[in-house]
Amino acid sequence: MDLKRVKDYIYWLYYQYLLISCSYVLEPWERSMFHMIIITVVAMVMYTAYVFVPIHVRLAFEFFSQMFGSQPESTVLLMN
Amino acid sequence: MKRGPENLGGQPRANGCSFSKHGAGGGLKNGYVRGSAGADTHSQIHRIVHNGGLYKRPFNEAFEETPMLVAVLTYVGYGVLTLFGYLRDFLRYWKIEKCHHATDREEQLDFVPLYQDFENFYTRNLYMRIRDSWNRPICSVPGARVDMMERVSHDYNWTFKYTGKVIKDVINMGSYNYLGYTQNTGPFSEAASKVLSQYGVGVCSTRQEMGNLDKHEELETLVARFLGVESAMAYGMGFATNSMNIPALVGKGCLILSDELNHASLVLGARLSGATIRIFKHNNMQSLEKLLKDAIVYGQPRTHRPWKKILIVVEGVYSMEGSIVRLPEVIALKKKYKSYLYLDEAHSIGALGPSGRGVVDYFGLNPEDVDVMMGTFTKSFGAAGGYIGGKKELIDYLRVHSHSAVYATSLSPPVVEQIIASIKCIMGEDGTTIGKQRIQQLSENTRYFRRRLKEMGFIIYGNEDSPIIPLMLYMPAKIGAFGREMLKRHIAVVVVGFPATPIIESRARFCLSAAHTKEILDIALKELDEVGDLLQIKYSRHRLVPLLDRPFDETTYEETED
Amino acid sequence: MAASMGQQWVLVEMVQAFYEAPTYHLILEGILILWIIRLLFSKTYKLQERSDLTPKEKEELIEEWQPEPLVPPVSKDHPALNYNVVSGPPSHKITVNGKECINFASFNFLGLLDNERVKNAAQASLSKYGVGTCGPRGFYGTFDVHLELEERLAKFMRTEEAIIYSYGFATIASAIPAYSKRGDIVFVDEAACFAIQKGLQASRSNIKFFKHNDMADLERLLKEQEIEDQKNPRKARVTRRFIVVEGLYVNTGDVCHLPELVKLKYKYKVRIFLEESLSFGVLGEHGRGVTEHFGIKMDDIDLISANMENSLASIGGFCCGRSFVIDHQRLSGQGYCFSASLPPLLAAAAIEALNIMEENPGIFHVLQQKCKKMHTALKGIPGLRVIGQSLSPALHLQLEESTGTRDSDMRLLKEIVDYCMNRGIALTQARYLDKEEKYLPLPSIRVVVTVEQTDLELDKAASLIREAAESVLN
Repeated sequence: MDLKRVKDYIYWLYYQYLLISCSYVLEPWERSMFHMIIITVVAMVMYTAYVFVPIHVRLAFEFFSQMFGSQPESTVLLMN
Repeated sequence: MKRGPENLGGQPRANGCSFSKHGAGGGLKNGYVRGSAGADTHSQIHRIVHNGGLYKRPFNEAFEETPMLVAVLTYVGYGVLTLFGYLRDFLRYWKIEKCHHATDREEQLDFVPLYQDFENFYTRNLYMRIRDSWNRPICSVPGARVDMMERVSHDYNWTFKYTGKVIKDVINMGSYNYLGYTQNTGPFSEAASKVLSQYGVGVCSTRQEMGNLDKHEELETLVARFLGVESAMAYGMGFATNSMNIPALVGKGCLILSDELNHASLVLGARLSGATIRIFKHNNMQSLEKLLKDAIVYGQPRTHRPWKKILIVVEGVYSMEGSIVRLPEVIALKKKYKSYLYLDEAHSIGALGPSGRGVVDYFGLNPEDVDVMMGTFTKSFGAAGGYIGGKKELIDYLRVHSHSAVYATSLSPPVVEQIIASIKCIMGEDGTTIGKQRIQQLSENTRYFRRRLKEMGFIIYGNEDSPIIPLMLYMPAKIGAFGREMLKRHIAVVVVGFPATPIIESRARFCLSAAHTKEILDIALKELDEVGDLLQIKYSRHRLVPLLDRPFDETTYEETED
Repeated sequence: MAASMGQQWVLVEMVQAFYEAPTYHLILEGILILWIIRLLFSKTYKLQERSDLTPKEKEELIEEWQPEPLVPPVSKDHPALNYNVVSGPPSHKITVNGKECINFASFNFLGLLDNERVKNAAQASLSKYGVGTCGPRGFYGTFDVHLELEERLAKFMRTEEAIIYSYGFATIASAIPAYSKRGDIVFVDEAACFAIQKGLQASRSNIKFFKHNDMADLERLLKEQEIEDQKNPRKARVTRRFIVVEGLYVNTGDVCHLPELVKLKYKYKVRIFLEESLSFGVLGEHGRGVTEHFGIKMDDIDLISANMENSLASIGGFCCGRSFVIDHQRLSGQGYCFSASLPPLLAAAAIEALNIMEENPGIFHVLQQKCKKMHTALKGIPGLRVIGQSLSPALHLQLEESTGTRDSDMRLLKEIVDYCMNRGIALTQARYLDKEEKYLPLPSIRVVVTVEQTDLELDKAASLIREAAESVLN
């Protein structure tokens, strides 16, 4: 029973996606093309996020810790 | 303490302007002005309550703002459709895809194209995809329930095939059958049938030549009596009544002030007349007054000669907005500035007012204050044609100079008889109270349906007493989805999108009828509730605006007493 | 040479003088220049001030303004004010103003107005659908009857598609502006009917009138346009061209020269719109109109428009042609989109009338015979001139010699009409809006021939008109 409700809900979500993106009125091949484009875009966003976000987070972390935390030795050395 | 027209400008009417939308040019401009209306972005609903002075009854007209997110998503939707439209046109151009639409003859391909391709971009790539929601053929009386012919399309709405099956008893929320006089049984059709067997269907001549039947004269006397005017004249088509009579009334050197949402027939008539046309914001009296003042003070452009005459052209009920004209104010302005008033009651005659005499009756005004009373027989009277009523001089002039009277075939006798019978019924001259009951029923239906829709959380437009109820859909895909889902549930609705509305404000429109019983309305409401959840069109962020069914506001009452 | 030398010399002198002038002089001149500038500016300022009216002045202006009356008064005895009253059906036998007459005025060419079959079909439709449609075609105003009528009309006219309008006048008046827009060029006959004129006006196109049925004049205009096009080929490539003609002119009773028109069409690449309100159901072996009369292929005409208010004796009108052309009107024809659809009983009547036309093609031959007979019978009446060709069922009788003014001509013709009406023949003057017509036709009496009129009645009418003319004009 619960599974059916989840399934219904997912179908409903898909329907909303169709309506909002207007792919509801597209012909099937157009619709699949549209899905492909959306999926590609989303995948690329996810992939770039996966590749770049950790690096950026680390860099940001380092940057802020430099600003607010104690200065690491290396920078002190550099300054000297 | 009668508030004279000189007070008009001074009354606080800020709200009246803040929902001003889509500028000149038939409302084709993008409509998202409402969001940037400024001062009252906090109050999502503009309630305009005019209880003061000129109004004898509360005047509640609501136009809720388009939610920002919805507006953005709507534009995104149009963007997607436009992109795919370009793609398809590209494929068609390079003959990769078969062209469905008809093309010109081979022999005439070197002629200048009959119509420009880009004109049809919208038709081909947007309208065509959801075309099944329009032109649905029916095969019974367009009463409260209607039988529809089932049709299918195997090529995505380029062509339709009739399956031969009939979808029975669809609830009809689309026909302008306000008082339910469209019937195939009963006294009206019997009367029409009798006249049909006596007179035949055609007339084969014009009014001025040999087509002026005794029936026409009878009808005109009755219409004049019904409207409370001196004289009236009937014409064969409502559209043509406007487009062929306005040119007879005004001409070069005259000024027409026209509401921006006026019907195409009024626009055409104004254009054909050769008069200068200026457009005021929809139902906005400040805008109208400014135009009137400027017109008289500055005269005609360039020559600065005074205008010969000024004609204000308004409709009683606006068919896309469901709003009612602010007639008391218009009349006050018209009197103050000595102009003339042309009132098109196509949707209001029969449908408004305690005795069904239209918007003049609704506000309790004197019909003599309106110079030209125009209306149609198509809607409330369940027939066809139009009329113009007014002073005897006006009608005499039209009898001589109306384009319709000289060049167009007159009304078909059985149609005339249907009009006569239904007007007599409304006036109670048939010895029954059916007419009165129907008017009562319609106004109850209207209030009930509007209240329930509001409670459900739909955004609906217009005056609380208008039997035309626009329900906002906004997104283009939802136009098609709404029409299809409702038909699946055996309810016939009208959906409207661009260019009849501003591009963003696509809507569904319900026309209530006295023929709708409470059960029918309840079924429709139940299904609407479901579809509303399914399509997520309950946009209203003002969930509970329980419409107070008070007949008169305390304050209103006092002021009208003065 | 010397002059230019002199000029140069003056210039040098000026510069020298400028250097040599005392400082106070320069300052003075500077002030003068500034003064002039100030004067100039203050002048414009004053102009602005003058147009800025005070509220009080505005009030006064508003107070002063007196508009013209909404309509000018109409004299009580205006000839067009008092209509003939027809009691009962306007069929073959008609009662006008209480007098029984034989109808020579209504366009009921085939006598279908009181045909029992047509009436029965309409009755059946009435008991199924009621009277009104309560909506435009788009919004539940499309009935199965409409679809059937469109299909039948298309089949009858042997075209791909037909579209029906709920009003005859609105048909061609909506069809023209659906295609012809601002900047396009329309060549139109001077005698074109009022509906065409209004359609042209609504289209806001560039309109060129050619002399009535004068193909040479039309070709002259087309040639002129061709030369114009060569000057500006860029513009010519987007300028649509149309010829709008009537099959059988209601104002003159003439048949258009269709074969020549078709030749001109291909020569100058112009599209032809044909208004067949009078010729549909009259000309041709099967009543298909002027195309059949001349044996022209339907495809050579871009659009045929006709009303169903004459031969078919119903109400409304239709356009037919190729789908490419006609389909465009379903979204662009104003009278189609924005008007309630045709009451189904009228559509059903039109279908039945079409059936009758298809079943008795002989009827058109009979009508032709009668037209010819009437035409010869009316010829040679002293004082009256017959206008129109012998195959036209609507003939015009004009005064041979005008009395001087239009009004007095009209009065004379009215006397003739009244004379006949008192003796049992119903006639009517052709009515026009004098000020609105582009080329106002001369006043005339219109005589309409129908198949129902017997030879005896035709003779009676002709001799009565002759008698009337003799008694009135002499």
